[in-house]
Amino acid sequence: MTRTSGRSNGTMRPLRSAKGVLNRADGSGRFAHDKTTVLCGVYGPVEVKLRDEQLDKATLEVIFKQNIGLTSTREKFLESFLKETLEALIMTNLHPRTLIQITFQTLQNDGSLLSAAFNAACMALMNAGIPLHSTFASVSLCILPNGDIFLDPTADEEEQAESRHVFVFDSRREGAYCVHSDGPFLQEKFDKCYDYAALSAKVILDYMKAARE
Amino acid sequence: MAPGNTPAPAPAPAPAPQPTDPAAAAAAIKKLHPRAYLARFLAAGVRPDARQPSHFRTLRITPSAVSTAHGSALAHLGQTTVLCAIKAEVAVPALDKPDRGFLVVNLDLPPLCSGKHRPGPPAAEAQALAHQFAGYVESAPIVDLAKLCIAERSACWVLYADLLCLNDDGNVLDAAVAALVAALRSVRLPRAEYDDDDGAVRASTDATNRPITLPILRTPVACSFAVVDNHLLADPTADEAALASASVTVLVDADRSADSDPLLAVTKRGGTPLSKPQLAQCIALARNRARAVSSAGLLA
Repeated sequence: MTRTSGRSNGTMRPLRSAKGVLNRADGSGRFAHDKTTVLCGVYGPVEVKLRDEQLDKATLEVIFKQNIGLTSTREKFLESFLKETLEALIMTNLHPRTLIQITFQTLQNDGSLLSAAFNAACMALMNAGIPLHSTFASVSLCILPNGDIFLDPTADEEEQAESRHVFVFDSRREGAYCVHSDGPFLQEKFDKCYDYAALSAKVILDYMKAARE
Repeated sequence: MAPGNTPAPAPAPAPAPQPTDPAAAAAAIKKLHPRAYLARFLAAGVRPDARQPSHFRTLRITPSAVSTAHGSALAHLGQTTVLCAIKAEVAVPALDKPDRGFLVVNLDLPPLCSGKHRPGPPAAEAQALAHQFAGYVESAPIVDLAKLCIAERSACWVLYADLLCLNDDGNVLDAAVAALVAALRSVRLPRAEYDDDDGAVRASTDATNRPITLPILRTPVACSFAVVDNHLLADPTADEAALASASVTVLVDADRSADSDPLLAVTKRGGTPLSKPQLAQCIALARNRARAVSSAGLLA
């Protein structure tokens, strides 16, 4: 099966990014995998509500907004997924008793949305000067019914796919920070996806490094 | 010894510390230093409830626990209890899928089940868990939705599967999946006929007709793990989950759990990064668990 865009199975879409696009935020970033675009704004460290205050570390608040449709449990799931991962990557212990608010706004969704959100978060957090344990990058893949693995799928490709996979890796390459795979898939294919994702994450991290300078 | 030269009486011993009840002392340590408490157990290779790190709690299923529902089941995973009841209603199929019925799942974590949950609208965490659960059901269908069609484009069954957590002692997801599978297996639907003339759906009047059971496509078994200080703990209790830095859930088909068979889902959340061998270990343990559940006939 060939991809409609003429891409080969293991090619990512062109990446685009911008930093500091919001002038009221402490840091912001926009990240695009071709059409899929997510804008991320970081506010913080700011004062925290007494109820959410933690004595030994900063509290993280993640808000995810879709471009269309009403807010559903899907956004709550994405928020909790992003929050748990970002909590581990941000040095929250350096800003105790504060709040770091991270807001995502989908500008356009053409597949691999969660990956674009993670990558936008990395750009925005660096732009805000929030100390991180390491930079990170996320990659999406999908496996089609015939066994082909498509890297960085579009929305149509995700629709046709039998299983969808999202990985997050950091620049220290210790292992996968998060994995989300659904749909029936073989373990050998999953292992392949893991390896492809680890390699592609490196490419995205190199891109971010170049974009930062 | 000369008489009168008696040894001076020994000084009175310091009052011995009040003998404390060891169980009470352990409970106090558990409350005050939960992390140290668990670490002491894990260093010795056991868990506070005497399980090995890779052991799951016993799964018990009571099918057809709710007599007024079309199908139901009560699942116990240790102390964690989830009730699933399925009600069927007739609806019009979706335009883009005219020959399919619906399965609508809803997982509720009321304040009844744990002090973590507050009354009012569900907290973000509970919503995220419910979405993860619903996502599993959608991406790996348990029943063939085409069998829920009564008349193409006109009438179909919609199964409302309501899952209620009665006791949350960790790992609600695994118990919920087990309860749903068992409840779907126990579903008995009346035979229905669609009347083209007046557009009504009627129960078949033929007395020889037996109720319909649903053909089950696969038997998913969810197996969750928590990572606590580099220890991988299968089927974490609420206390263990509270200390975990990462969690992994693997969804395996109990009917096809050989190493070459497909997995249904893998979700790893949270902080600590996990290497490929660690993920592979989770998958292998999950397959073992699915085989054990399957051979015990719990979800048959």
